[in-house]
Amino acid sequence: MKGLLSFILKHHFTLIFIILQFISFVLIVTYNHTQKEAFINSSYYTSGILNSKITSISSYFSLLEENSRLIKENTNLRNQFIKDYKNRHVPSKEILDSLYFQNYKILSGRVIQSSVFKTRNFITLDIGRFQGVKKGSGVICDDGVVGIVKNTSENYSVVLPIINSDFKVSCKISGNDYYGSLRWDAKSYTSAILEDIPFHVSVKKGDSLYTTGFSSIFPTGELLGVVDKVEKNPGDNFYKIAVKLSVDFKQVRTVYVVDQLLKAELDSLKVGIDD
Amino acid sequence: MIEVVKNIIRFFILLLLQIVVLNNIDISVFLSPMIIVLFVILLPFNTPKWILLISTFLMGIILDLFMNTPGIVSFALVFLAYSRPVILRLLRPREGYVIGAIPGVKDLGWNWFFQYSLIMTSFFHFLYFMILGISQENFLFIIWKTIISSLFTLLVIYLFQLFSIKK
Repeated sequence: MKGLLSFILKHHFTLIFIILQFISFVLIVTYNHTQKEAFINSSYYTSGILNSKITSISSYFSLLEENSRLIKENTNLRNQFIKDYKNRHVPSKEILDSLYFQNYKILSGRVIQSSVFKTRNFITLDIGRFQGVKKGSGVICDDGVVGIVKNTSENYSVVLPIINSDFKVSCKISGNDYYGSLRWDAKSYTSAILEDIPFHVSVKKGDSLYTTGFSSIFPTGELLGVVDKVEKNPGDNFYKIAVKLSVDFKQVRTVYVVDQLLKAELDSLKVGIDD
Repeated sequence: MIEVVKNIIRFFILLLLQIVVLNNIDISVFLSPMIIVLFVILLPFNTPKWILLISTFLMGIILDLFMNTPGIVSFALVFLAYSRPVILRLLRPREGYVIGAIPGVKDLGWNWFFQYSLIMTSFFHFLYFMILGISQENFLFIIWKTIISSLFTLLVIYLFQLFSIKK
């Protein structure tokens, strides 16, 4: 016992070091790889308040531009109204009455903090749990897909945008409906990489990429980006496709959080299959 | 005693500076300076070793919460704190360190501090970017990030040192 104590005292520097590194390591592997995992919640409250104070002034400078953008977006939304509803009965009967019920609920929020030049960029929104934001909802803006809600506090939420090295989403090519997965290349906030498209598929520069709707996070057919460059890697069966993202992450101010109301039903169905 | 208070104040000022100012620098992919490394650099020679580790771990964890990178900053920062005695031994002047001194310009001069801060800062940035970009970025990209961010951080550190000498 005495020997053990003196050993601990003698090597306490290294022992504490190992313990602390172990804690950090566990934190890194637990929280940094999947989008499903939660972060410690309370910090978002403080960092949210701080960030909204810092950026409340700077938002005044873009008011004029933002207003015209909102008007355009409003007219767009009015036209698309029917798209967000799902037919309850037989799809052939096109009557705008009790036959439709809402499938996607859309909330608008303002970006209070964002970064584009880091390896792990995040976007903070000024809406949270109280306003109805749920963890795992999709976030879009009028140019296309922005990201996924990573976590929410009472009045703020943090979005994992496409330009974060943890982000991955399935998408399809406009012409042929083949789907692959899109991830960020961590180099520039305007580009990303499309993977898993096999050689026999014809892909041209200029093809648009849309969400598949498989994961029930985004509605089907939201624009992600445009194919910029198609490369064939020797020794690999898949294309390496450079994508130009449709959203300018430096300019995103207003976003829409998309909450699929039928998601719980869809998820419970999938759980049934696993059993 | 006054040295302890000074270090506690430095702890919070550097954290605040990092969170409010430096984390909001969004100019280039290559530039994400970490001024918090100055806290580890300037801790007195006679700091108890467990305080060295625990305080840097605390600082790392707090910063991790604000940067959404749980564990990454604290891992790199604790690693740096653990290697600090080794780096100090390597740089030891012939007559040894004066008891109660602080590893800054005031006690050891510019020449010594240039070497010391360069090693500490670039080592930390390298570790940090390495863990952050592991398996996703290529090595050359990480090296460039290390060089540019370290240079910027060193510039800020020297400005602080100039200020502390004048005082």
